[in-house]
Amino acid sequence: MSKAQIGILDLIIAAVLFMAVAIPSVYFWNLTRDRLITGMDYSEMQVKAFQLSDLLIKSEGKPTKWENTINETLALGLAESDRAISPQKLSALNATSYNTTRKLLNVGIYSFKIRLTNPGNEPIMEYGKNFTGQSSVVIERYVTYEGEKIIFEFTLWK
Amino acid sequence: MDAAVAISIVIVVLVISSFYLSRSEDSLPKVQMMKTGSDIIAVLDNEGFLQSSNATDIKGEINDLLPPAYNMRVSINGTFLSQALIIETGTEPVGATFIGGGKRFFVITSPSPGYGIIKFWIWLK
Repeated sequence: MSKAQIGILDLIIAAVLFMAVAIPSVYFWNLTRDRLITGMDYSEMQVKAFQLSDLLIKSEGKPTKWENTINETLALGLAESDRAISPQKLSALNATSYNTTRKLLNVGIYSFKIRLTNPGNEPIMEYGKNFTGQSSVVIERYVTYEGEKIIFEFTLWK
Repeated sequence: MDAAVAISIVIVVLVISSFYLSRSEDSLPKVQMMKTGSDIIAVLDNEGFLQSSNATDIKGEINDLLPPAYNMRVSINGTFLSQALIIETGTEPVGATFIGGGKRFFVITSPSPGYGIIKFWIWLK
């Protein structure tokens, strides 16, 4: 075998080795990046869903009687006290358009749905858009409504 | 030889990073568990169960609200109780289980004005 042939063979072996390492590395890099991005997106949704559910069930909103002046509302809140839902604020929310609520809640690229049910899973109120997207976070919170315990379900999706 | 060493290093890095990525935990269940415990305590307060401090009623209400996957322990203390009231819904956690906890202060008006503290611990069965 001549020197030139050995040189070519050496080059071919090096190229094959390089490809054997480079191709799985690129594939793995892309896979890892996708998983990281998906994980970060989902974490962001989780945090936002918890923050929004906290805001709605713990805060009265701003101004505190926003249900009387919906057009001047700065922040939404459905509580009359900590985790006790106000029937007046709930009615006012029902009368407010979804897009207005979306802006007030600052949900950004997400959509949401609020569902209130009694412990027997019978619906008391539903507001927002049903899930038709790719991923969602569903948060269940316990609250009281007119003296009775109910479940406040908040779904954030995109 | 150089090539073999380089390939080994790349493979080791890939395997280690893959291992740590697969180990990363989802924090949602823990946060959800803590919020569940906190919500149950708030509901007990809103419904007046804490003010009455009747262990049987409180346990019944907790069992009503607590999702089946969880166990919970609460301790109530205050100016109106001679000793802490301990309520448990099940067996104690086994091994290195994550336990979420928190506390809430509440006010009582009868038989005499005072205050109480309820602490809770919640964990997966």
